[in-house]
Amino acid sequence: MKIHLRITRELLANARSDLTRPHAFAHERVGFTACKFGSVQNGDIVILAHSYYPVADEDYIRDSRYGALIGSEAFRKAFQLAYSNNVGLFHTHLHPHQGLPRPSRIDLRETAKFVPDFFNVRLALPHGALILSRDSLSGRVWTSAQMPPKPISHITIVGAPIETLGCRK
Amino acid sequence: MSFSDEALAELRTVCPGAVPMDEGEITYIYLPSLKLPTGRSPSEVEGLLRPQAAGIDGYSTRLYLSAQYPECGKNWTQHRILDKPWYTFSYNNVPSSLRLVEILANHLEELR
Amino acid sequence: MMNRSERQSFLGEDSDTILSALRVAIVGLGGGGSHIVQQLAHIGVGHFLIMDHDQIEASNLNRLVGGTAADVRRSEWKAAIAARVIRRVNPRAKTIAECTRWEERAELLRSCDIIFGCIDSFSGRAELETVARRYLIPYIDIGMDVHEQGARFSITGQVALSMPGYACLRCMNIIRPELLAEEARKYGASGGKPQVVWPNGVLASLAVGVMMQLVTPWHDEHQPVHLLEYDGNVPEIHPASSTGFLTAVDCSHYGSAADLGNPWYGRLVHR
Repeated sequence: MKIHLRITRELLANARSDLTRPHAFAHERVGFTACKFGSVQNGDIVILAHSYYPVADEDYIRDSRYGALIGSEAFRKAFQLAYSNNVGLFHTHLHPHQGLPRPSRIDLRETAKFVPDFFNVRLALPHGALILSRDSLSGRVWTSAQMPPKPISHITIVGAPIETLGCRK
Repeated sequence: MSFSDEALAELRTVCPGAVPMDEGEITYIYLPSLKLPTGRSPSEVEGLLRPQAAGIDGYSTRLYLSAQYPECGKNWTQHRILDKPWYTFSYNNVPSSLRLVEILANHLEELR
Repeated sequence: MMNRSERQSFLGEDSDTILSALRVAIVGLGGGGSHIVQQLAHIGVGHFLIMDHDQIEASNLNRLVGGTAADVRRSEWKAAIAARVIRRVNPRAKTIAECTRWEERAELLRSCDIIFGCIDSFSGRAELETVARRYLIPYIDIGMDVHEQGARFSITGQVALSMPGYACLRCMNIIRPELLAEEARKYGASGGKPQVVWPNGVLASLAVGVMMQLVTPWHDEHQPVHLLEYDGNVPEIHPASSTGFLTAVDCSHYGSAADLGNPWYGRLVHR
């Protein structure tokens, strides 16, 4: 199964702008991208990014072991979003470099813990994690709480100009 | 546009599972299993009731179906709404002021 | 020996790769759509989805690019004609040719990067744009008209780019309630209006240019256009005075999460 993400240039810029803002004590910021979906031929999935929701400053937890740690209130708000708007949730953060971002060991470990919980709110929709860099992005998608995630194979940034990342073959 | 629980409940007595769905500024009511008048084949289809004028075609209300019945109803046209194909026929002036179940009944009458 | 795209190398060293990977849908393969298909084949677009439920008639021969008298005799499908044009120009392009109404097979559009709308009816264009917006796909619409003005005629047309975050066809006043209502009174019949090849060619070329500005821009200071108006009598082409250049707009007609993606995805549907 191939997974294709479409995201507007504007939404991506908004997310990057938020994620590069300094926080009082967290080294990184985090947000959630709300997405809708469609099926294409051969059972592939297309993900449509709709909006980006920053985690509020007060919802971070001070913990020097992590670049950013968010508390239960941040997740509660995210779950409410998913429920009210019938969207899939993608945990979103930024690696401050150029080029294709790859998940760190901590990224992989932590997202594997909390992304499956999103299915408790919206069981029938995919959820996942996006990582932005200064000029690129990548992501992983869970289509069920039980199965491991799949990488987003192809990304289209919609705007002027249109930009494509990854391989759709 | 929103509908009262009573109006939807009444509609669901003839169309179980009827549920409002929005596209843009228009609210449709999805009818998952709509029974057509006797003698029509297929006898049960999916339907989409538009119980308002909507400013898109000059019709006060409209009924769309997942199949068309060329032998009845006039001037069938095809549409794509809520990302599915639908057919509808020309039958105007069923007022949006009627109850939902009455709007539906009026449109179905044209297919007898 | 020069290769087929050396004369367009100014579009960038990656342009061949970009164009050959691009998936473009052309809905409506009459006078406008057939021109667009031909140009995209020459440019090197690699993947086509072409859709038209119609067969060629004699009255199409004045403008349907690729259509022949032999096609008319055998009532050839317009989609088959367009597929032949593509094959003859670029045999490596992959083409899905649908001889059905696009409304029946619109799910095929979901994997496209660009959709060209070249259909006559306003309701069809409005619904096609809605599908494009659902899947965040830039939609390029072309329309041409011949108006009777007493004993004279005027030829007009426009090319509109509808893209998420920017004005839609309703914002641009191309789709209006009174036009939809008038069309519905005629039960959706919108064909039979005067149509000629040269304005179709002008508009098709402009539309292809709009696409190329999006996918392989060749001037970094050039502001993309999203509504071009054509006066075929002067003749003259210019960006629309109020909304011509692409600027971000809060389009009130689209934008809610409910209008994005397949509304049936993840729903239990009774069938």
